[in-house]
Amino acid sequence: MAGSRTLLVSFVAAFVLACTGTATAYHTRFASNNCNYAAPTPTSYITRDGSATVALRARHEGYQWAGGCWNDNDLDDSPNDPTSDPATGGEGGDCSGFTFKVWRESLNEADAGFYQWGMLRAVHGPYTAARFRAGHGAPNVTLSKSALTKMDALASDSHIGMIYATNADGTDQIIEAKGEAYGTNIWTRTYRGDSSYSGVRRTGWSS
Amino acid sequence: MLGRLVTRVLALVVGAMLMTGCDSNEPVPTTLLNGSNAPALSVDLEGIESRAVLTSVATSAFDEIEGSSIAAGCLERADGDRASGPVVIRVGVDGESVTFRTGSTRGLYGCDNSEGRREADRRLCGVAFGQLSESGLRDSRLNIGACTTKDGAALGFAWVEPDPRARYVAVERNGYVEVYETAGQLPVRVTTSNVDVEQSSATLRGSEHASDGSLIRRFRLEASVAG
Repeated sequence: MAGSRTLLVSFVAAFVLACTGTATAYHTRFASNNCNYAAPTPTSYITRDGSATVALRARHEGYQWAGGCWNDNDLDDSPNDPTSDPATGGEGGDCSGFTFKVWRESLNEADAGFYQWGMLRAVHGPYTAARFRAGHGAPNVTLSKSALTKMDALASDSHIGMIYATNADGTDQIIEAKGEAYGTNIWTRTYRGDSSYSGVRRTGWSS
Repeated sequence: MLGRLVTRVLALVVGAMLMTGCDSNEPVPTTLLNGSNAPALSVDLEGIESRAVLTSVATSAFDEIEGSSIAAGCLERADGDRASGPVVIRVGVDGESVTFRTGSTRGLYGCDNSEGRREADRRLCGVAFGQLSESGLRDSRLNIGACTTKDGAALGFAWVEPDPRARYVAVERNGYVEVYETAGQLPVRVTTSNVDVEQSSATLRGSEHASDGSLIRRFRLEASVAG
């Protein structure tokens, strides 16, 4: 009798632990615990170096499908979220959400002005990589890949990354929200030579 | 006595709201975006009846697309990768779309159009690209932002992947239900007014029906702009 009770208790404890482990694996509540909906601050200008600084604060942070909120602790606070699920509430932007925020764009596509979004502001913006690639939105234009410079972007129909620096061999150091398994960082990429990628520029840089 | 009367009046009001879908007495639209009459629906869709507006759908082979059409502009997006299968062109009440898939990239391309204002040189208010896998689309590829009605109200476009048995996909709009026939074994690009620009998301409610109009399932799709 005592043995059966011990076995039952052990089974229940193991079951609870297993369920808890599964649940906490990705329900990080990062967004609900940390992110906000504060209004962006309109600014009168944008510089490439300033945008690079904004982008670097997201470096080593996480990646969240449809996301756009991160802190600056150089750690993915919600690793191994299920991919393609906007509801997991994890840390980070996805590729287009990251670009939207770094380029200080507006939720109103007809508005080419500059809006400084806080790191912890939960916002993705209206653009997908495909729409950036097509130059949609008043602030965005397509241009020749040979004309691209720092903080311009290379976009395909399914991904976008910004040029942090160009290497001597013609490759680029791209700052991008790459994926759940990688987070946000700088990688050397050959997008410029890839025909599926096009050049995209946010207009209105002061310098 | 008075309490009982109030209760009855409230019950009547609530009943009337439920029957009309809590909407105003706006008439159900009879014309589509291109000015044509909405096609007649040959069956009653279970649970929808008089609020249904059937959209038009046409399928064309890649080689039959006219050079100046919205479909031709959309095909250019595939960078020379030929459509594998039909090009599906839909015209709804306030939105039109093109959908096709390509063979080599296992990609699903979409283009959206609406009446609202946009940048001067833009034929389309949105484009979409979905990655197809064995299990279907990664997500519904919501497009919002530049797509609006003539009056400037926000519109969203998204793909719905219907049950293989479905002949009709019905989507709740403001006071009516927009109905799409399935075509080309492709996901169905639908329009919604239930857009949250601040959250870059949209909520679609609808149902899928068999050829005889019988209900297969109801759905609620929470879509987000992503990737």
